[in-house]
Amino acid sequence: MSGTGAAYRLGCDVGGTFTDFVLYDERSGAIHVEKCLTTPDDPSVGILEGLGPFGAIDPEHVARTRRIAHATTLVANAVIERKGARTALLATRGFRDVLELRRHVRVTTYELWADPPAPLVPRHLRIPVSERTYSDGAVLRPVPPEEIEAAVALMRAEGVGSVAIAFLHSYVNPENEREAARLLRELAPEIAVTTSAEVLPQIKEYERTSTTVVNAYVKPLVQRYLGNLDDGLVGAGYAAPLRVMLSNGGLGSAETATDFPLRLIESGPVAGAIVGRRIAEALELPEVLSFDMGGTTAKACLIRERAMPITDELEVARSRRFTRSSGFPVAVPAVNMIEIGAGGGSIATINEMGLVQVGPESAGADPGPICYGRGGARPTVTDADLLLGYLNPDNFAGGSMRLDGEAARAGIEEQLARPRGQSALEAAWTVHDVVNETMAAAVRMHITERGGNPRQATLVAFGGAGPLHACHLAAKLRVGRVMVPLRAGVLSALGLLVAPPAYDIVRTHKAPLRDLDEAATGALIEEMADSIASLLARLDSEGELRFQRGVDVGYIGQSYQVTVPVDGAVDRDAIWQSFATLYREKYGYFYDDVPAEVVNLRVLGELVGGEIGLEPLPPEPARAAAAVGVRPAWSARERSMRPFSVFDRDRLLPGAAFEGPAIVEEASATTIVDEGATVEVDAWGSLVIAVDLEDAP
Amino acid sequence: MSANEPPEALDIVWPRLIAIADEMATTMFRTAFSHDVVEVHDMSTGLYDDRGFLIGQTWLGATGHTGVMPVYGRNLLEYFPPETVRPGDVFICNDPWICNGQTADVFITTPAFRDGRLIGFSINSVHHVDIGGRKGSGLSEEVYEEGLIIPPLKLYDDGEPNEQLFQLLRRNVRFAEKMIGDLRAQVAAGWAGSRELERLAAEFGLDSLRGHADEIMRRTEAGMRVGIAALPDGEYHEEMEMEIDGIAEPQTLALTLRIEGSDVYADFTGTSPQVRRPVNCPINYTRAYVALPLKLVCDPILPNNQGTYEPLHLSVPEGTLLNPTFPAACFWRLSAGMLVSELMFRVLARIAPDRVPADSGSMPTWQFYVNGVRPDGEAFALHQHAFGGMGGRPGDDGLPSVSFPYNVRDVSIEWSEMETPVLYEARELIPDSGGAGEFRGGLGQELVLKAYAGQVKEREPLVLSGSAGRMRFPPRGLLGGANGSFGAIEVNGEAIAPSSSPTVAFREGDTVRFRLPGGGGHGDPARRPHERIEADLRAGYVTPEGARRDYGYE
Repeated sequence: MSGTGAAYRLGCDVGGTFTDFVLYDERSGAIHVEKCLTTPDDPSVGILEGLGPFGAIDPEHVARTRRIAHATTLVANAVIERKGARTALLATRGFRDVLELRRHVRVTTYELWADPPAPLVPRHLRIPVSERTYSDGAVLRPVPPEEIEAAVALMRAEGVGSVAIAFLHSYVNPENEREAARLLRELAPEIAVTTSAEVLPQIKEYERTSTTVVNAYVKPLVQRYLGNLDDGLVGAGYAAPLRVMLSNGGLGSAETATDFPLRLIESGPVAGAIVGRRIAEALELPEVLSFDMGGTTAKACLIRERAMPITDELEVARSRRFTRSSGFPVAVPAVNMIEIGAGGGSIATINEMGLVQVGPESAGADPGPICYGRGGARPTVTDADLLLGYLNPDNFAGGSMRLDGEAARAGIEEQLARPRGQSALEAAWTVHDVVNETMAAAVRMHITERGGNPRQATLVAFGGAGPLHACHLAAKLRVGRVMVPLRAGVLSALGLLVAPPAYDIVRTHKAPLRDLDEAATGALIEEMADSIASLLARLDSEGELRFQRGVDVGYIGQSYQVTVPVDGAVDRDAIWQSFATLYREKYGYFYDDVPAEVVNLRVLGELVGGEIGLEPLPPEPARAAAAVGVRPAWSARERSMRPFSVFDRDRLLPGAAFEGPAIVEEASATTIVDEGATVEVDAWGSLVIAVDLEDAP
Repeated sequence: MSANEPPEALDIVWPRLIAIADEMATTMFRTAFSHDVVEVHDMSTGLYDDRGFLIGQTWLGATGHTGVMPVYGRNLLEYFPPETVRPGDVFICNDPWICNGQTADVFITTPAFRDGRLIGFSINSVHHVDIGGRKGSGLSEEVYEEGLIIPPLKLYDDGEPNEQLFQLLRRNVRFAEKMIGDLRAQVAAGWAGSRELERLAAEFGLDSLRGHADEIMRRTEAGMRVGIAALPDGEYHEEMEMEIDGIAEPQTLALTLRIEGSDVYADFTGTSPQVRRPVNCPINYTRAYVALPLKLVCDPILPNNQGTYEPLHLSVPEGTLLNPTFPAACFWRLSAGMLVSELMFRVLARIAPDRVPADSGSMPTWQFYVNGVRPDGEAFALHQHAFGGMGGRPGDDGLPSVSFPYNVRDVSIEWSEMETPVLYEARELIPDSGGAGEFRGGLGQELVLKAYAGQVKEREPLVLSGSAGRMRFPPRGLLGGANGSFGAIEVNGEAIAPSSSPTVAFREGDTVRFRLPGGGGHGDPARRPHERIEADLRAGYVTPEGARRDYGYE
């Protein structure tokens, strides 16, 4: 496997519990996966230890590693656990409470005690500055230097390590913020500074202030962590530069990550979406719904036209994990994906409505589902899936763990079936069906928001539980095609290796479309592209630099816009035409008679060409698939246990084809194919399943 | 799966109904023009069975709409009997006595069918940017001044738009393209909702939604009844007074609440007669704000639907502030309507003081328009919200300046300044405004406005009009807690007369200052732990003088 001239890429994903490693051999295409426990106090310690086993594959892999990509949940966790720096905020006088007021909305309508998280900056560290800029960019009052001096004195007395500066309308004219930052750096070089115009030059003061504060809050911590990690890797002999996965699905330099650590909020979770996009590219699929279901959560992302969907509505540290508006807005570009509290470990209960509810509470890996026999006492999705015959108790996780079916049945019987007057099997099916419905509801909303068409989409399933639930979920969504790639259970780790270096900037530039200054707008866009180019140039990477330029256009007065691509010179008429096309596609209608406006300018730069390819398997003569056995499992169509043919994934070669009902087992995942569905194995070894939508309305 | 076994399919069907409504709401946030929808979320969406019973509603949206939707479906069917409804029909209505108590709130209804048979409706309601009339004037005396009144009419008939009605609307409203744009967004969301309802019926083979509807309503009603039955039987009387501009004497809102087993009887006998100001509250809105506190206290978890309202029996004498007769002016009905919730909380506080906050300065919301003219003669209109503090809660301080119980959002300062030449000098918490208590009232806020120099036409004043309150009668403390601060509106430092529908003219150089009331305190201030007082001092929520005066803390 090794040999002279071997070159590797290394990926490392630090999660809350486990750190995953993946080593890719550029010549042979071989992929090695390792796992170790995360060391929360300083994750770099665990990383350096966890790399050890790769020495057995190739003792020289250290010197031969050409790229290192790193993803981490550290930033999000630091905010959730409030382990960031003592942070101050400089705000326009009269508006320091914007951070606490949170646009005045409550977390839920009907609860008297459902409070949002307390602001990251307490009020005595929210320091008013008598400066003011108006929406037209006019500076009504410059920054009084004596107020900054007084602020520094207060911050020093309070032991502040980081400061956010967020003044009104700085997205139009950042002059006052820059001046305050200059004074601060001069007077107190030891305090880290973040200005809102650098982090998010966009209108709406609460969202921008919140975003800036989150960045300031985690900045010293990330600086320290990445410094340690880099030192450690260099010390261990790795010469390749460290790259970090950003929330937008691109890789950034350690320097970018240090300056804008808020760009790492979704660093961990985006990997799955990246794999989905790569598959869409490789197979030229117009719409891919990537679906990654693990132990605690499921994530889904609709990729249209091979482009990563981007949202500006990210939130962190929600007081209700799956409730919008309950966390701190972090309005920088991030992959638009949804996270649902539904996984194999999700607990099933009977709720206040007398309905079976699954999740968001999860038994996790410890104690885990009842059938793990590790002390879990409440029925989970995995317990239900076992009862339904979908999981093989003797071959779970590659046979490394035996599942206790009797205990699972007893738990479901007592806690769900008996109170509802159902059989245990019926109750298990209800659990399976309800968790699918919960995911389908969220995914439907995501598809609607993105203007997707389920009938054209291919659902690509991975994660430990994804392939098991994929076909039933697809039927609910009226998605006719499901694809299960090889190694689906560990596939998301690959995301780190296939992500291109990328960075994007969004800035508010509000003007009615018919009055848009084409030349000035074009110049602004190029300015943004230039700063991205210089950021990416520092990544020292091969590949071709490609830009996607765009403008966010909406009808005047609307708060949501459609991103219209701009190729070449800015042209008002062309923008209007594209807006018409995209708006109609998304919402089904368009008004010729209503004026539109440009709100934001958007540039994404990517270094493409350096990603690893997905190689087809060596061609073999097509063979009929042979089942290795038969076992009873629940048929959704027949509403009873039926014999399902069991296939061994390792023996399914390209060209093989078979029909449901079938179960396909591999070490990291199990795929369930119900009656009426047909399966083909494609050139990459993926299962391509045609779901029967005959009954679907 | 057949319709005769609702419990099994119900695990899927009930959440699906709510998810469809949420999806309709989200689509509207993205496609509507009015700031009141896209930023403020002043709207709601729901699904109904063929009898007009609300069975699924979005969790998003404003409480007024939420509480009115259960009545609206039944109202509509009186005008359009089910047997006359055809696929492709779209109904429109904004009549304050059928809909949401205000002409700006427009309801759109689309029917859903299975095999040609009516199975239900999707309905959504939206606060429109304009509906004609006097632009929310606080001086209106009759509803005729408050814009176009649309009785239940067909906006589309058998799939064909009613062009004459569209023309009438266009000719009667300001910013017509935005208003029509919002209507189209409502219609599109309505069709999407009906389509999903039809798909759901097909997926589960349902010829009627009634079986599921009955079970959903039954369980929801049962949940409410369990909560109500846990309250002791009894009869309670509470009154509060509100200040109304142009009327010397304060006017009374009176409530006698009787709890009998799991039923609640709310009788508003004793409430003052309706007035010739736009603060009269049509009965649908009154009902919404009677039900809301009951739900908050008795059953905050179950979703809202027709069943929620079954245990509630309302009796409001006609011709009063809380059940005015046509053609009473009612544009700012929330001034009286939200105080209905406060009356309810006061009664509930006597019954269950451990579960209810003290009076909240956030009732009513101060919602206002600023109308003006730019130097080039173009008119502009700002619509903004401001909120007082929530009352202290047993176990916790009240939330500062929050949309309680309404739950909508403000319009961002930057967005507002970008759209209109109004300059804000502050949006900030007011120290010492929260009533002292073991659990302090949430602070009120100060909002300070001016005309942006040079951008407003000379000799044309800006006119601010809206809802307000608590300027003469502050939010009360509970169980020994102190009152929250008074509300006030000052122009160049001079307070205007207390009003529930203020109208204020100002020019370049003038300063308008809103001081929103803080919430009442909960419990004896002497029991507030010193650490919490010290934390308040440090944050500046309480001043040293305030701490000395209100808590005896040195």
